[in-house]
Amino acid sequence: MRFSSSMDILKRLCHDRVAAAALVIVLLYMFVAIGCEAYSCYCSANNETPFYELADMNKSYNAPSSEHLLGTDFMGRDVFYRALAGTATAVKVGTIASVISALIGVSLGVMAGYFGGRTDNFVVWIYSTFASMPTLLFILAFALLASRGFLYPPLAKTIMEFGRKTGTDPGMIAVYTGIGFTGWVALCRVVRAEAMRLREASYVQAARTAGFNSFHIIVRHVIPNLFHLVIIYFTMRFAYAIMTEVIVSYLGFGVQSAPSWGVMIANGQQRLWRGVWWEVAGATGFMFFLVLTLNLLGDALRDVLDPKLKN
Amino acid sequence: MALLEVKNLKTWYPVRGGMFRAPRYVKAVDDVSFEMSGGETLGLVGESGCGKSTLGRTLVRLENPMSGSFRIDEQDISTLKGRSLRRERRNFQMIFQDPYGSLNPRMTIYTTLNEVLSLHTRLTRREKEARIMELLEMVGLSRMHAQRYPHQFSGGQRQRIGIARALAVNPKLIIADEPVSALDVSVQAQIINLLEDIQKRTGVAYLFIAHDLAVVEHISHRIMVMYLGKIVESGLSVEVCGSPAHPYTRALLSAVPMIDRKTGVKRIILPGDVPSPLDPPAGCPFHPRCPLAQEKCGREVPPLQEVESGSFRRSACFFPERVKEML
Repeated sequence: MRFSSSMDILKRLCHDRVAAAALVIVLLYMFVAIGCEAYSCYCSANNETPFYELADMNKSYNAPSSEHLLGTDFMGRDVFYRALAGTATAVKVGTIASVISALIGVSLGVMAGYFGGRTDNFVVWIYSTFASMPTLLFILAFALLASRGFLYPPLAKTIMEFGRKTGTDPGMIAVYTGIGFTGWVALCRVVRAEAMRLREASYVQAARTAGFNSFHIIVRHVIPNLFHLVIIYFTMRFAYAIMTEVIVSYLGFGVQSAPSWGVMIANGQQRLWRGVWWEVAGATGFMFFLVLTLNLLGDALRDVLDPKLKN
Repeated sequence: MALLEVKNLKTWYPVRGGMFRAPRYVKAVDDVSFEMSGGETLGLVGESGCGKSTLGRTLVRLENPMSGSFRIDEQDISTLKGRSLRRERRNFQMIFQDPYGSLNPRMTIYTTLNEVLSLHTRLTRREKEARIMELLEMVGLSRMHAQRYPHQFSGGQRQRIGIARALAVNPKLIIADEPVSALDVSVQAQIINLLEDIQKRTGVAYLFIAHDLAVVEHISHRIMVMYLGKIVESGLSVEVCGSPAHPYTRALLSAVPMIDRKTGVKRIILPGDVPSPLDPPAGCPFHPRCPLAQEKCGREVPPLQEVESGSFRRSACFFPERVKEML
């Protein structure tokens, strides 16, 4: 098996024109997201209204024009700017949810695969339980519990407090923890299978005979050799998390105050029958290109990174 | 004083039967006893599946013995656990069969060796570096190889790195599990010479596991022959290969390929297959296939005993003197 440096991988990735384009677009989205996030932090620190929040009731539902590229919404806010700012929300949710999923999936999967026996049975039991729950319903229930004070209000209060301190929308916290806690099953499965295979690899056995403890072996010998799986699944999961955020926010259980594509679609559809198409179209278009390029990138990464697919 | 003392070692694997069936066992290593002294090379031969690798893996505690014990340097290793086992591991190391799989593809050679040294020694960074260079030179590689990754080496070179890793902590015993069977013949000779050379310099003992009798005969001082989880014959290398005292050894020897067809011996073709280790035959494990078998062989298990009193030669056959008649 041949492993290559990250430079080498990037080179091979760019051989494929579609993959290269996808990578550029994804990076562009990331750049915009970081910019918007920095800008909103700057605004809240200086008590300024960000440009995407500027409302003008006289200009509600204006059609796209040179002044407002994608028209305005019911409060007269610029749809293009709001969709741009929605990128920050989407990327933030995607990143944090995927990181949570990856952490849970990798640590449980590696432990199950490496130790086997009872640990394995326990982990398989947990992920089978999670896999048998409808993900969306779980996330909605979690959002109700965490941000609407359902069943156990103190939890919602803590999250509200935490959100105020860190300047994040409490609905968003509920969404990304919800997505993170449900999205680790697929990764956990493949990591478990790969860890089982690596446990029998000669170099892992050599590390055992050399006298290293299990923690060292897992961190230095097992995880680095299955990390390509984590990268591939992270990319795919990222796209899924963004879509889920949009759906949850669309249903009104997610992001409350921050600009979000889901909220925009929900607001825009109320006037869709009157021919106000631009708000729905703007938000959907932004989401579509991000999710599409993420999926393309994920597939290309799989082709480049997965040694099993190399002829 | 023996370096390695193995007593009645059994490595059995449970096989899950039905709910009401008694658990059955694959007897991979079944009641094996032997001794090894420091600085010697003990060859262990047998066909695939006879348990020779399992025996090696049990001795480095990659498998856990079911019963029996073994001591390395007076220390009972068979029951050690956790930290105390990990600390003792520096005394016995292993060389693996597959040179392509035995090195972590994501680590340079330097990192691989450095990791082992950091675990077992308290050397400074500079001392470790010096030791790594010394090791690389000892196995016939040069300093400039240190920063390379495993995929940049050939099979023979990788096996040299595997040997360097095993040597890094100055073990007293190295279990070499078919260290040359994955290599080209010309490279095999180089590695064998390297192993002999290292033994002369460091006095390390090898338990050399292989299925190739010619290789084992060349490198070993003594040889043990295994069949179905049991040792069937042991003795000095010259004696075992020159005048075998067990019909199975005789058959194995006749299977060694020869280039010169005229002097080639007649091959002894054993009837049937190796019985399943799940359900070994009663009496002598070899008797269903043995041309010398008699009624007694199916009833009693022949013990591994001295052929002549007071010699190293041991055979688990009731009629060692009749083996000569086999051709």
